[in-house]
Amino acid sequence: MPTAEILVEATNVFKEYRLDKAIITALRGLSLNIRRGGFVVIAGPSGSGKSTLLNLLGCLDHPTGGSIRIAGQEVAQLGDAALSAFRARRLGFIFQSFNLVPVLSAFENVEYPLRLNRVPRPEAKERTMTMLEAVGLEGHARHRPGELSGGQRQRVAIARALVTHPDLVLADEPTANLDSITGGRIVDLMHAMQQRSGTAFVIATHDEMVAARAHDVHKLHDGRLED
Amino acid sequence: MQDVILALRNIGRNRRRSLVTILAVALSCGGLALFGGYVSWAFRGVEEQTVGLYGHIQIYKKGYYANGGGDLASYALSNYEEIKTMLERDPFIGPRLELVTAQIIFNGMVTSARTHTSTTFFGLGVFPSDDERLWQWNPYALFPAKDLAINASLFGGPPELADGDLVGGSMGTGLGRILHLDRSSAKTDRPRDSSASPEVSSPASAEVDLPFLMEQAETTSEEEGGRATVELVSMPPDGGVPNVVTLGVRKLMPRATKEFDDQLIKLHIRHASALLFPGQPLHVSTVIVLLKKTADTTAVAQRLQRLFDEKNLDLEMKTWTEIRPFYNQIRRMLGIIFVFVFILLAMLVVFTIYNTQNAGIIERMSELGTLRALGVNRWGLWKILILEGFFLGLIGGIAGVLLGVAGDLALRAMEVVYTPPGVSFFARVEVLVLRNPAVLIVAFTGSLLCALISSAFPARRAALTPIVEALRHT
Repeated sequence: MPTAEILVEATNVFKEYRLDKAIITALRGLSLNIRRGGFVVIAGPSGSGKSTLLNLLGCLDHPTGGSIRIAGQEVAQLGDAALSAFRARRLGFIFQSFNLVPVLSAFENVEYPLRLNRVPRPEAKERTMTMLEAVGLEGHARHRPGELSGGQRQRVAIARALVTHPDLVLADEPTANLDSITGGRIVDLMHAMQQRSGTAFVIATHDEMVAARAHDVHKLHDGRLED
Repeated sequence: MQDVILALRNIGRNRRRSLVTILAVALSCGGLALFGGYVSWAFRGVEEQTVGLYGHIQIYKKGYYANGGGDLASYALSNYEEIKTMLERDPFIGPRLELVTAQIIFNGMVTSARTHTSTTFFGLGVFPSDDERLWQWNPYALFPAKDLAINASLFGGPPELADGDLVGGSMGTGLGRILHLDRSSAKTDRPRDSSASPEVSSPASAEVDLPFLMEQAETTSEEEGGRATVELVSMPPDGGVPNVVTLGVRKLMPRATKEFDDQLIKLHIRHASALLFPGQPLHVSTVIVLLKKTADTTAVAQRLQRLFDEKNLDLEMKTWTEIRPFYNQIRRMLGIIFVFVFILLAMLVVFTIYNTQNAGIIERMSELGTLRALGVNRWGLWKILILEGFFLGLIGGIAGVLLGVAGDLALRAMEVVYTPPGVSFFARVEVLVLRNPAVLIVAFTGSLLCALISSAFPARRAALTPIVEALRHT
């Protein structure tokens, strides 16, 4: 893979957790490259380290060993404020439980990352509406998450993840809380949005349907990538 | 702006819990404002009462305050007018003066020839109109006791003294009773002319039949115009034959303590001077200085001392708080109680908001983790949560201020009265909330600060929670 195309470069990554007196090793010297605009699936059984890897790639946690470079930036060197700004600018997240802010409307949820990035109000409004239209929720802009179905909430989450035009979107089991039809539509939507935006997607899942749409599938087992 | 919207909407999320919290803040803030208003009223009331009796500064001949009470010959001042002129003309003191007057305090024997009774008395000679001005000094516009309907019998009728009535005076109801100048005493075998009874004011002791006395007094003044007379006997301070003057008893006035009620005679200062210093010019024991503002007391006292020193005057002075340390004692006591109440209420606010914030944060931990994942940094998250506490304090504080104002207005409407310590009349209980907005500011700012302090700890804990741990919360 040419260097210019590499977005994420994880090298010999270890992650250990302390649980009482025991030390649990979640990732054991994992190395992985993800290219720009890729649609990558991390597959594996529960406890294999998928979510841990996603947390590290999403700069939500720090590795206990190895290095992670995203868009040329060694993220372990960044402090909280810089890392937060990095997440706001470069990354998007889609969670299994949607994780929308319940007191904000669909529009406000999607607009929130733009406000964090200090995008001027008129531009933020326009981009938010464009994104809601792209996920087919322009008619639900004023609805709060409690007034939306699971599929609609995940659409809002996808719109929120992509509205800042990030380099990388990380999705942790995005279809796990949805029925298969809705889940299929969400996968279609994510794929379509990826094609349209050119943003790289890394999806942790054990849903075969998602894996079938991926450019690359990396299988994790006991904290190691299978060959 | 987004943070403000988020904070306000989160407050509205668990309405019941937020309402209880706001109510707790409001009651604490309102209660503190009302208590502060009461303390403020008590401070001012005691100040007005004390200054109304003693003035701000009293000037005496050197040595009088410590040991001159029984030796007027040595310590009486015969140059009152000179002292008064000196004060009024002084460029620093003059503009600050409200009144300069004098008193003479002495002891003697009072005899009623008609009822064949006599006893010792404590005499207070004053300039009648000056005494009235002194007593009515009311810079804080507290509700005047004389305007209370319940005090009508006390302050109604003729005044105790009058400038034009040099030989008229008043005495305590107890003294009147001892001298058999009232009806209850008439039940004894002493000969008595009811038409010669003086005016009697209430409230008085249970032994006095007030309605009868009032009726009798009116009859006396309207129909016969007469009044009881007593003879005041005093040994001239410089020795010789005892001197006697006659005093027409204009009114019996109840005094706050039994000692005063049984002994006090208040009379025109010139009549008192004539009794003590017959054939001599006016002598006084004390020059009383009343200022426009109590805050000027120290500066004026310092200026006075310089004047005494520069002019080599044989004078000394005492300020009202030196004469009555009671004021400072009560001020300290109420101040301590206020601080104690403030701490109690502050603790209530802190724990209520802490509890609300803590519960809210635990419930929303996953959501807070999401905000962090989206790019809100620790400081940003702390700010959002602090804003929630701030708005709880702000809304509760505003409601508390309104409660305090409502309490002030309600108390005014209810006209609650009581007898303050050290006086014999009723006073209206007031809480100076609207007239002393400082108490509102203290209560409101206190509520807001408590809200911020109590929010800071849960907010800090949430901000420091690792993102992945926060996201795991369900």
